[in-house]
Amino acid sequence: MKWRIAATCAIGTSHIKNDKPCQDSVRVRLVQTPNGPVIISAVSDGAGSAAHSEIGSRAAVTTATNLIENFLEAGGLVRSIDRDAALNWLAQIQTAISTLASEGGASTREFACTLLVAVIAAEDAVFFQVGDGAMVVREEGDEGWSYVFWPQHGEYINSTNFITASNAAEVLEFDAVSRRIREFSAFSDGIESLVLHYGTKTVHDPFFNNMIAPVRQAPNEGLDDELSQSLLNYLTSERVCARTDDDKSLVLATRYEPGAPSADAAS
Amino acid sequence: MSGFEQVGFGSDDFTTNPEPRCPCLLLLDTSHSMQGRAISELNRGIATLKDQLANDALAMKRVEIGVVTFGPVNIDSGFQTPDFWHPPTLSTTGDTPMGAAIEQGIDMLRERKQRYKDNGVSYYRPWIFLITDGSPTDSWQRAAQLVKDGEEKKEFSFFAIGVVNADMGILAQIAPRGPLKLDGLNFRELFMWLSSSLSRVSASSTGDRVALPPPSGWTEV
Repeated sequence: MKWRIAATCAIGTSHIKNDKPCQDSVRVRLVQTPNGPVIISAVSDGAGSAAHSEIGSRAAVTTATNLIENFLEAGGLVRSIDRDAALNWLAQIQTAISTLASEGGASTREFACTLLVAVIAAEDAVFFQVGDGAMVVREEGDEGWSYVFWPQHGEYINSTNFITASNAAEVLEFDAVSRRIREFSAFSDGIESLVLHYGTKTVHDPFFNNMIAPVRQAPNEGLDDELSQSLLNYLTSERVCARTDDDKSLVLATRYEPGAPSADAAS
Repeated sequence: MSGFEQVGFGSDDFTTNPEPRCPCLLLLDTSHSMQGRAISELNRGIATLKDQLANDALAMKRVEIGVVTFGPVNIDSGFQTPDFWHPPTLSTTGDTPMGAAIEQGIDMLRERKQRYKDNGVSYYRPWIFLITDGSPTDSWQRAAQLVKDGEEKKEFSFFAIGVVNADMGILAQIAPRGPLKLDGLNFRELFMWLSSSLSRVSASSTGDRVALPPPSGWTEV
């Protein structure tokens, strides 16, 4: 039961047009622990209105994954991660960003970004999120996909929460589950409208079923570079860009093996 | 134009166009003083707005234009995406009931937001764009209070543009952002700016502040 992963960030056409960099960042790590492999996924979307948000989002995913990796390597268990632990990590990520800001003589606000983190072990998983975008999971025995947190939008679709804001700790959503998650995806708001139905608050299953299929066929454990490249090609294709002009991040991970009996325990 | 709202088939089609919407309401002064070149330049400007938006495929799906003229207060067109919106050819008609027009416009936006919610369509902060060359001939104090409240609660963004002899003093009391004075009759430049601003807003993702292009080429310096 090995995790196979594809992950990428694609610059939005409006960013190309307005000479802005890709402000999304993604980092996925697979950590081997005595209790089996643990996947750490971090996605961050830098605010379009913030001057250095691509640096902010990069720092957010790097710091988040490093902190969690250190925690696991020191023997920490996924099931012991609680809201306070997540808040503690959030505070350290905020410190990392404000250090970058003061070094550059800029305001922290110019590094504004969202953050979506998942830590998934064999039998347990932890999720936390500030801002929009979403994470979706398919559990053992489930046909469809379900969202972990609904994207945080204010009244207007282009407003959200950022980890650099003073209310980040209050708006951070946290969830710890003791369930077997077989497949996972995380994405930034650039593809929200393609994969979520706002009216019914549901996940568009066909999208994820189609996208996860090639990942299931990947032969080796961990992040598949070739698949990630073809995912990038897909996300920058005409078809996708006709429907969204924003930066797009997508993580796809599966430990489902075609032909394997579905009830076997994760190794 | 008759007074009832003209709705084209499919103009409200949230099922085939689930894109988030960015409503923009034009409150246009058609009082007698706008006669002659002013109204014809305004008409040319409105047509430019549609032409410019047509260059942006996403804006065509996301921006919705509504038009209210005064006076008398008349809903020229309800909110429609640019492909369904036919820019009107306005003629000058009466006095300047600006207060009533603003109140009408704020009501229309409230109703529109409710339609978005009912249809599960997300939306951007609406814009109200008031263009006048005079001073109100009705009571405008209540409208000014509604604009102030709406701006404070971020219900919409309100822009007031004064043309030629407009009473900029009263406009300053109505528009918390401060009114802008149109340079001559540069309506075309004004609507080109509006189009690119709407393009940017309707393409903006996370972040409250959208950097708009500088209002150059149409404001009086």
